[in-house]
Amino acid sequence: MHRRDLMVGGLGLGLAALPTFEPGTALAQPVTPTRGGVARIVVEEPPILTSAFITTMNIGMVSSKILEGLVSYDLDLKPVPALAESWETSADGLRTTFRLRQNAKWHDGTPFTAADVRFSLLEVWKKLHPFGRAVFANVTEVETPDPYTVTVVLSAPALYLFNYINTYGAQILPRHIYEGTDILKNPANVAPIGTGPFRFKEWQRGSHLVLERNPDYWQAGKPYLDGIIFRFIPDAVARSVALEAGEIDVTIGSLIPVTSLRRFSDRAKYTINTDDGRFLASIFLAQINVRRPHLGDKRVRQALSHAIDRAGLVRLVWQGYGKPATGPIPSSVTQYYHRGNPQAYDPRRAEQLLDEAGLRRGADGKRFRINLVSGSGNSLESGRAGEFIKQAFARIGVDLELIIEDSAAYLRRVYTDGDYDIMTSSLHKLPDPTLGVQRLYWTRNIVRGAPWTNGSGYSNPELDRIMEAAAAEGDLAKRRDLVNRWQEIVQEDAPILDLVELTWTTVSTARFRKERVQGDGMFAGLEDAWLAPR
Amino acid sequence: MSGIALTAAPPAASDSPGLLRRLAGNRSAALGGVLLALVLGFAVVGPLLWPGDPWEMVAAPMLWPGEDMANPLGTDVMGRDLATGLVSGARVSLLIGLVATLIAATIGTLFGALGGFYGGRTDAVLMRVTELFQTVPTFVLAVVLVAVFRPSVTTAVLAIGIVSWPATARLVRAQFLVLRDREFVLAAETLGMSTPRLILTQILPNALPPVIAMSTLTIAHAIQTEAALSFLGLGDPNVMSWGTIIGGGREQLTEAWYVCGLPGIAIIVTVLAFNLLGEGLNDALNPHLQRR
Amino acid sequence: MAGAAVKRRGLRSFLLRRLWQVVPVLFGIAALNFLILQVAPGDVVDVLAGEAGAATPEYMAQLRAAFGLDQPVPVQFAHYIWNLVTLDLGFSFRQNMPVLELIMSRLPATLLLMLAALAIAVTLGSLIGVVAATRVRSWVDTLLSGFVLLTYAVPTFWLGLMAIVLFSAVLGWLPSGGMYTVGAGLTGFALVGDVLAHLLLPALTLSTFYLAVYARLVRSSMLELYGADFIRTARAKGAGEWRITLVHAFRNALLPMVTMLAYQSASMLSGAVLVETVFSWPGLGRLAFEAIRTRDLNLLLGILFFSSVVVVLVNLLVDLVYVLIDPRVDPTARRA
Repeated sequence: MHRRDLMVGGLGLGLAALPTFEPGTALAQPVTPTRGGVARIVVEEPPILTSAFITTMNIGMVSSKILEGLVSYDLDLKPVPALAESWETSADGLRTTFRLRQNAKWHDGTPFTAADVRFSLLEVWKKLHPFGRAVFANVTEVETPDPYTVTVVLSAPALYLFNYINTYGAQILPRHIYEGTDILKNPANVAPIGTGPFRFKEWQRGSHLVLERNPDYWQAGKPYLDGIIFRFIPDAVARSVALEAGEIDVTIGSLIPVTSLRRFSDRAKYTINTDDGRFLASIFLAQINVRRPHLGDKRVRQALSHAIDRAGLVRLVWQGYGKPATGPIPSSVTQYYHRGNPQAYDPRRAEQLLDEAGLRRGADGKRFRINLVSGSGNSLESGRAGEFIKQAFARIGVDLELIIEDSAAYLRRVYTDGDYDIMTSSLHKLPDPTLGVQRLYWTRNIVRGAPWTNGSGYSNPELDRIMEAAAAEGDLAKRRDLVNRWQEIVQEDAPILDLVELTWTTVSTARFRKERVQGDGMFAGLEDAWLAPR
Repeated sequence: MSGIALTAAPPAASDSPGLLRRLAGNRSAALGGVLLALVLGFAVVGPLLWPGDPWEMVAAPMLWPGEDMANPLGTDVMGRDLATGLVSGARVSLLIGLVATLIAATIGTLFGALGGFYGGRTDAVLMRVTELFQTVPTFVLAVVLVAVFRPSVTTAVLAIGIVSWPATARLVRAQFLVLRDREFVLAAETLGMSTPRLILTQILPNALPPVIAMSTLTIAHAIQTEAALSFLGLGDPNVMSWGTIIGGGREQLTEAWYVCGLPGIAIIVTVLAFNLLGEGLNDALNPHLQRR
Repeated sequence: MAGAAVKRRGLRSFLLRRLWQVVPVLFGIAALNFLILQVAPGDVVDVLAGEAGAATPEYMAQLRAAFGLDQPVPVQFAHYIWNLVTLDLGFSFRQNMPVLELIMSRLPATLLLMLAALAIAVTLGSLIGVVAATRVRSWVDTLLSGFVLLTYAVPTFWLGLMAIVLFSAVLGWLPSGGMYTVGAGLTGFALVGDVLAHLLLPALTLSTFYLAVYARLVRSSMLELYGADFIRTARAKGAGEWRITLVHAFRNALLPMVTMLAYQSASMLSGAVLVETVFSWPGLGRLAFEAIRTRDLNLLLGILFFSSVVVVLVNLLVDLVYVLIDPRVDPTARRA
């Protein structure tokens, strides 16, 4: 695909890919939307209500209904217009211009203009957002020749920029509310004023959050719903029961345990959407601390990789919701996925490799003992995966001690103290490897104390050069070649064992419909959602 | 929230002739003993009937009890045999209950004995500390301790022990206050017996029976607490206790309630056994109540 | 009435002494919790950075400075204690709200749940206790005692889960969680009814934890009193059996019950953590658990301190009630 294809935006682009994807999403049959009704959605309670400077998922799931981004993403993770109507990039890749909606207004009546985008980019995303700092690092200036045009000037091409400018990655904040204030402590963070289809009404902490319809939304006739109620139900069983009892309409973010999903398999009554979280491109992985004895040896890491039956893991722990991962980029990121040469499940080969590395079985049948840490804030699946891996390692003579800690202790242990052998986590790889993958392997990202950096301690100067070149490459085909080589290198060196490509499920009653299918549906504005009459 | 709630006033009996006979005659104690024997039998004989690693995934997941006689009590969500798990759970839960109670009884006896024996400022300070632990919500404190210091059997045992001792301390203190002025104690003191010896050989043996009665209740409570901790996701991931099974099965409750149900019933039976036994012991040690 | 004056003076000095004893206990609680969380690995900045998805060490250092976490532990502690003295519970950096405001927003839910559970436990427990005592050693007594022991043996969270399965999932009679139907816009009696429907399962579940205690307490106090002199006198005077039961014995059983209420006030939050988690009840217990999970030191300490103050006050109140109910109690005497 040529670069220009990627850069031409326009209405209808996202719709092209629609019909090919799984039934079961709301688009099965075209139905006329009905106006009215309040959707009751279960999410995990967010700490604040803006995603402009924090990537916590549950914040995004709520704030996306109130605040918007420049684009959203379709199932191929290609940008679709949101607050930006269209965009184009200069031939040298150094100037990208967005044309903005002219009829969008903030919820307090102030018109939305280019100044809001400029402020958000320079003052919020570039300075405060954890990924924004990297995404917009090359931005030298943001020009606003007129109130509805924004030109981003770059010091080097940044193809990845287009993969992170939706309401979750780069949420636009109202300049007139935030300018000159301490952005992190602005009261609007918990009572946001946005341009989105729904307005913030009230937040009863620990219980629920109410949004009401924005009658002045820039898409005429939308939203269809009169409002949204977000409910916070901490217990998974109670969530399933509430959905079955009709007390709620939707659960976002895999809140129904995979083991309960079969109860919602009746298409006439429920919809299970497995595409809403494609944008996150999450992978359940095991990161190996290469600074530890034995684990610095590539053969040992490969052996551990060969010992894990990824298909069995998907089947048993994730009940089939997910895919065995083959490498650092999940297959859903079609633009960059490369199968390469993954380690197959082969315990015999694993034992052979360990023998070669001089780690023979002792008199008790054991070779060595290591630990595996995971955060207790993670899902039940993560805990079970640990149990699964423990049994798998036992078969090749590796004794595994499981450690589950709360996230403060876990992050401290892994990223500050480095006091672990293997850690498991579900990490978002994001649609662009420069953003979501490079951080885990890059030598310069071995940063003591900072979470989700290169915590394995793996360092490979050759790979560093490839990753850095890929980041600055403006030509898609060339960039792809670089990313392919990158994937092959980390498959071979195995500092991180990518285990399962995760699926984020949105489970709803069949009454809940949505016109558009999105790759970032978890963070959809839901202006196009409605509740079919009973 | 400890066992004190169910114990009556501490008995003053210094000796209890025919204790065993009275115990056997006590319906609560007898029933408690039988139930406990069953649980212990399960823990001891179980490994012979259902040997193997409780973590091993041996069959199809979520088999119902009786569905396949190879796994008579069914399997959990990972296809692990529940009977094997319950056996392991019996051993772990009993052990956790016992050790935690031992810790609680030791701390409690120490505090109570010193406070009751010395009185005055020592007593005042010790009682303030006891009060402190009775004022803090105990389970919340246990959760804090386990969560913060990495969930494991060791932290669970320590945490439960640390939050469970105040009731024992108060009981022992009350006993010591009474016994301190008894003639045999005064006599021993006049004979020049050293204080530690006096406490250990004269007073403590007489103060212990009600502590034992209370400890059986503490065991019951410790087993419940361990299950609750596991339910909140604070169990030891390397050890299969009843709480672990409940914690792991809680999300499948509506599909396979037995995964949570069976260990839950095991806990109820065990807790009931200890409560009955404690109550019987208490009655037997307290002839004052026995008369009625 | 010289006696009354003496008693009043005694009461005052008693109150003063109790208050004086309370201060070190409260200080100790603050110190204990502070220490535990200091020794623990990791802090709220780790949690925030983890949730944020990424952070630079500079940014984290900046946050730690802003939260005062970069200062020496004794300074932090002094700072915290000083805030407590000035009745300032601090700010929750994760929830973006003052701690006291957070606590107050969750308190009504927990109070409602607790009071309902206690009311059920006391009423049902007393009833069981009275019936059992009047039919002592009969099959009724045995049956009731067995039932009571069983309720005490059942783990509350397990009972809650099973109740949800039965009453919400299978039978569909009661809502599975929450405090009221959000967004239904109910008012007046409809709202009260709605809240009651939501309250029933959690309150019943929680009440089993307390039920046994009251039932046994009432039973044994009544048995004890049946043998007491003044009951025999009442009988001799020809008072009817029921009158004796209700007026004399039951009134005297109140004393230990009140003590027990005070004693249990400390365990309120503990029970709340589990039951609120199972039933999504938006109360303090869950807030406390959240605070633990996210190392929200100010919030956790705030909740524990708040609950301790409540417990201390309740105990003080009960000591007073004690004096009022039973004239024989000498307030200056120390309780063992």
